[in-house]
Amino acid sequence: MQAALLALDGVEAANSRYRFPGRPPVPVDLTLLASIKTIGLIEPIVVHKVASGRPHVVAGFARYAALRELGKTEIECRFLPVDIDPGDIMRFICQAHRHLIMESVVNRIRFLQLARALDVPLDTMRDHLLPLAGFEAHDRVLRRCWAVADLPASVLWFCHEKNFSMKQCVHLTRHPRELLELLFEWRDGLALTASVVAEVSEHIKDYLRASGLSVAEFAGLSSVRAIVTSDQSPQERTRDLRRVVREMRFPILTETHTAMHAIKESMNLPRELELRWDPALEQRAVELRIRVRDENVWPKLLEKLGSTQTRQGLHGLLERL
Amino acid sequence: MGSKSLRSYSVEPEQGGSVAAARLREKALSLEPMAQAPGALHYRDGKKHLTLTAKRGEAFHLCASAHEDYICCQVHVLAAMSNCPYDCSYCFLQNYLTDNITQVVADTSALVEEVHSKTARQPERFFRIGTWELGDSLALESLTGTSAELIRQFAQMPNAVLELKTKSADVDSLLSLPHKGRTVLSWSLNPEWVVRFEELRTAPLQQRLDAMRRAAAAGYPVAAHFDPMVYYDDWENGYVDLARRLFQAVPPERIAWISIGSLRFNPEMKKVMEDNFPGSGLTAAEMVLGDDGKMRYVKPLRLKMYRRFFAALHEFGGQETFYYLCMERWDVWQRLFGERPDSSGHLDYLFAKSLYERFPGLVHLRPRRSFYDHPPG
Repeated sequence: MQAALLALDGVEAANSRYRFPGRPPVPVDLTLLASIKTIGLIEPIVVHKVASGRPHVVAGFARYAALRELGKTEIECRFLPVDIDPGDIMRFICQAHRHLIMESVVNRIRFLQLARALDVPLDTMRDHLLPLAGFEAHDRVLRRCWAVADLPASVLWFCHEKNFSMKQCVHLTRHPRELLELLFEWRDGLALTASVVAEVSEHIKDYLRASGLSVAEFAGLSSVRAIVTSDQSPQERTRDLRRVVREMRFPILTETHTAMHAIKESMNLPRELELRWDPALEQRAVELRIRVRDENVWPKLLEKLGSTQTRQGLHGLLERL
Repeated sequence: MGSKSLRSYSVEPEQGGSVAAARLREKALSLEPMAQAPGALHYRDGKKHLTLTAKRGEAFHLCASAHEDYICCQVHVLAAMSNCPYDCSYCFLQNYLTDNITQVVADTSALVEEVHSKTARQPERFFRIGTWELGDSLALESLTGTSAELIRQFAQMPNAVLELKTKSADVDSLLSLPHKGRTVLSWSLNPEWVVRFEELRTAPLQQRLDAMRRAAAAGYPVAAHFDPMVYYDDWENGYVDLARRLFQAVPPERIAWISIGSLRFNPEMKKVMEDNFPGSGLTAAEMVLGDDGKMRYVKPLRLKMYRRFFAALHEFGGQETFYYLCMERWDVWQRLFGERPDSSGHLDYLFAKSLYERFPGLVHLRPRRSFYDHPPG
């Protein structure tokens, strides 16, 4: 491989065509910086000179950034052959950045996105690069990767941070883009986790389909505005948003549970008696749990259990199940 | 109408001499003949190719929907076909089939032989046997004629009735067959709105009802399946209208049974439906996960829909009809009908009893409860 000492300004790093799409600029690695400062650059960076213009960095973005930080003006480079096959460049990149690529599903997909940007042929992509990125070699998988790659940047970054599985990423592609953008616009004010995102976005999506509302109309609902503009903590806002969205998505369940809780309240059960029922309302049964810490309360509990008020309450609950 | 989605066909070599193959070659002039079925296809692409096959393995078994929390009618199914040219948004086949090619078993004698040998083991029991588990019984009848063959052969069956369930209107070739009343022609019915927007490529509702009328006039017992009932904005008017039109089309005494059930699917299928039918709003309804792992409308909504529809069926002439709920909970039965069978075996018995009393000559023995208490083979 040909090597040469080039001016730093003569090498394209920030806009290199071999940079992973969607990733922020490489930060200066202080350990690397100290090492280069002490003993110099041991391993030259790898560049590829495209048809015209400056050579682009293929591997060595961190070293490039460190040298620039140190005020150096030149950098030792090795050149990939000008006419190298894009598929071979991707294999090299995979080898050079394996740790970074395998860090998350999103990075594995960014690796494929890069291959697509370099016009790697489809069959090379499917048969060679998908397995290199840890995916099954199948057109279906490739289609899913592109769907994930098209998610809004903020969502992709979240998926990367939370180390979403492929299944979780694909699930997000099923939601309207505007909805995801809205949710991530609120992100700073909410305590979003993978499961909260999945739950809330799924419920909102179904609610929008059932109600015919647009994402903007949903965002403008007074109940929603009240939550996202409140001065509560992110945890409290998230809790309230989940509750409100659930109530919108399940109006019949909500109404029935509200009525049942009112009946339960009217039964005036002592704290030793706990009433439960199937949250989905499918099972027609009420579960009564007795927790006794003092045997002296037992006669009083039996009296309460045998009372007309309890029986009427149970009747009312079972009527609604 | 259903066969319009087909583009090509093939016949397995050993079925080349079958009656069905001869009929297919004669009728399928607009289809491309192929030496063999194409390889693994997407669910929708599988609807474009029809292949005639031999019977493979056991084809006769109890309907797979049984679950202890739900009452099952104990109908048996005969795997006479797989996949369907229709394109219903709620069809479970889109998330079920592993081989998506549309297949019809050409060797009907082999199917009937298996039915014979298994029903003979319980000669006192009366079996209801449907061919609709993995496809529409009549959607491809004009091309294959296999259901006509089954009708002829079931006419000789001592303790069974064949049920052919369809969303087609293509029954004219069956009307003059010597069926001896031992085949029930049944229709899956839904309001106009559901037919138009969710049951793509199927026969329009009025055509189905007209076909039902012709079948009843030809002496066939007929049946109606309102399953899945679908919730949509105008569901109440739609289902009341449907009940009225059913009894305008068919005299109640010719209706062997009516089933009612609500839309249900497993959670994985929700995604498949949304992918395959992005314009359908069915999966956006208020649904919960049941104990059998299927999503259903919340129970208060199911009960509301069942009650309104059941009242309409009664109002328009169905007071004496035999009704049952498909894959529904015991307490829903109790609330809707005011009573419920003790067990799935009991329901099976009630079917036989109703048919014995209402369709003389169909059930070979006066049914006894004890015949149906043990599980069918």
